[in-house]
Amino acid sequence: MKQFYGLIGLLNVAVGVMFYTVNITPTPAHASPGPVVIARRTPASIPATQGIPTRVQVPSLNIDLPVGVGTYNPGDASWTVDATRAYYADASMPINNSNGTTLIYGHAQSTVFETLPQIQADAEAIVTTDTGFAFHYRLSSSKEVPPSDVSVFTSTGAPTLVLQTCIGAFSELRALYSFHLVSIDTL
Amino acid sequence: MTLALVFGVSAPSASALDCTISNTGPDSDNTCQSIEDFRCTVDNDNNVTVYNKDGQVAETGDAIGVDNTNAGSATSGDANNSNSTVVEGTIKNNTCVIAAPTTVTPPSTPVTPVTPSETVTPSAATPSGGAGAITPVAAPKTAAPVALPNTSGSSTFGIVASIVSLLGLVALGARFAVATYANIKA
Repeated sequence: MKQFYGLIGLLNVAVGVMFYTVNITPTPAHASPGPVVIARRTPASIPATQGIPTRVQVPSLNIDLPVGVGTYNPGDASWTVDATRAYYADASMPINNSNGTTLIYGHAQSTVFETLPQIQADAEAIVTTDTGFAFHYRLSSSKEVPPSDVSVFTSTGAPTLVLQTCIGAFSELRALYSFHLVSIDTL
Repeated sequence: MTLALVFGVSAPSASALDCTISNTGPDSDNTCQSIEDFRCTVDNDNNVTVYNKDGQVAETGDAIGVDNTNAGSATSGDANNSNSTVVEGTIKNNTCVIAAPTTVTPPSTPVTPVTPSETVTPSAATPSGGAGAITPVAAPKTAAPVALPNTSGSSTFGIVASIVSLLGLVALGARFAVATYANIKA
């Protein structure tokens, strides 16, 4: 009988030592990877409506011009431009309803954007795209900047249209007219 | 006399608008807005006049004994009238009728249904914009311009300004030349 109680006592001691050992085992500094994290799938986004401008209209100034694609020549820092149409600067964002600024420029000539400086507040501009949409804009603001101000190409934020022509006694400045997007029509 | 009046007035009906959005995914932003603005003005002016004039007269005759020793117990007969009038009318008032509700389809928001138990391995790129966000348009990959387009062209004002400036320079040059010549000659 004494041997039985002695055995029971030894077993109790052994179990106690085992639990003590388990409890004082330090946690590794770098735990192994846990279970797989179940992430929620982000719902699909709505594709932006966009396109390359093919036509620009400013009804209040009787401006209705075809729009070509103007490219930048790094060699002489020049842009495609002539007196027959307006040009979309391909270094700017395409026309879209998501973000960024689209630059359309034209000569300060009677056949293009000469009357642009006469634009009135809240004037409407309509840009037709090669994808079959008509983007309607309203004039938000205007400013005159030196030719070296190229921030229009890096601006982010709400979709914006900028119409540009030259201004100043010697055309030494660039007049930028910013429009905000109002609506989009499907042609 | 019996007078009976029977009138009926109907009540306006009403309906409810509802909409259902189904098969949407997590983080989706679905809005179902049902605005019911029902105004109904009914002006019912009912003026009902029932005028029933009973002009009947009932008289009994005189009990007169002629050439008789006495009148005995002669009496006149009873006099009575009977009159019955029934007036029935129906007034139908205008009521408001609410049109059947129009089903309003929420703006289309493409959402991929997700099975609740589906396991998706997180990718390195963190999606942004949330549900229904318009995919940002990437900037064109062109050479970074260092100058805005030169759109001076040959505007009328520019031409005039250039000519005036040129004439001014010529006049100044001529005057300087004359002055120099005069100095040399002196």
